[in-house]
Amino acid sequence: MTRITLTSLLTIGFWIVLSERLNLEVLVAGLLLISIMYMLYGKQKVAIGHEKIFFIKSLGNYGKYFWLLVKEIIAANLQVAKIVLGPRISISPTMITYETKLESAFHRTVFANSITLTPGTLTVSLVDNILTIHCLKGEYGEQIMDSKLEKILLEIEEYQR
Amino acid sequence: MKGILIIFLLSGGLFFFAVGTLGLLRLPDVLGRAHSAAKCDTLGAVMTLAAAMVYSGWNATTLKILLMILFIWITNPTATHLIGRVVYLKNAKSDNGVRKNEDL
Amino acid sequence: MNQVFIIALMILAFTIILCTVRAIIGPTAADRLVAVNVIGTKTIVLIVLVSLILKETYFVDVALVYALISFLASIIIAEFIEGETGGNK
Repeated sequence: MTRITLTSLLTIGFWIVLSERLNLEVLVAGLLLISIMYMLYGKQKVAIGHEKIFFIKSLGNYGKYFWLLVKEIIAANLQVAKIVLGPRISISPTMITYETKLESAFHRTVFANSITLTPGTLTVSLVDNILTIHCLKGEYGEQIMDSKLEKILLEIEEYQR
Repeated sequence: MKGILIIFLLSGGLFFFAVGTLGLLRLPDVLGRAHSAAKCDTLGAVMTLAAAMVYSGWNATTLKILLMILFIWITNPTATHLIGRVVYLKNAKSDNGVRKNEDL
Repeated sequence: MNQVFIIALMILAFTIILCTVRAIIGPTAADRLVAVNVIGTKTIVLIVLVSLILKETYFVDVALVYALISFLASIIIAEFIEGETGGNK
């Protein structure tokens, strides 16, 4: 899928959801607005799908990633609740750096945001392929080193090459 | 059945919102507060909005709320990451002995 | 079902007040920004619940636009603080 088809499919889906119905007038007005938007912002690389995304082929892997992420988020929330609701707050914040092997910018961003949502870790800086991570305790940082999330993303990249 | 599901999702979401707020008040430093804000806010908002989706049934409103959930899911970690980066750069700067405008 | 939503609204409003305390006393600007970000997310949920209670579904559009704008506000204020403290641009 090229960049322009993916972007226009996303924007027209968004427009139909916003207008709550589907008839000719709505569709024509939406296409007009989308072409104006594309003329204004198309040259800047803000749109999704700047790189080749074989989205359909790796849909199963993305689904697996999403399911794992949901489980991690619930674990993270229960862990924060345990720390906050305890009588004394016992944390020892540390900073670690981690070098990721991911290549595409999209996957790096997804991975950095996922780290923020996993237990006890917060991505503080992302420069090229070096992530700086703030951990509530030292032991949570070690979980990042062999995270399953990065393995799934690496698998997707392997598949797309 | 629907009512039980709504009450379960709503109370779960409100519990996580309360935990996030308590963490915001109790944790000692800025990055710790950002931890509790990022995680609890994401799950709390998603659960509460899911309760709203179940209540409103199958119509366009549900789709709009789903869009909102996706948006919160993407933007909340990003905003927290930016705030964390500001604090990190500030600390790196003040370690070198350059300090200015400590309090805004 | 309306009573349940009204009780939820009251709890939500109470947590927003507690967040405002952090936004007022927070020693640095970043503390305040974290608190304001949390308040923004809670306000979105609040608007959606109010729209379900009043059965006025156009409030949901308001909440959607609020979500977009509060994200922009957080990013721009973060950039502003970074410029103030002399981070590398």
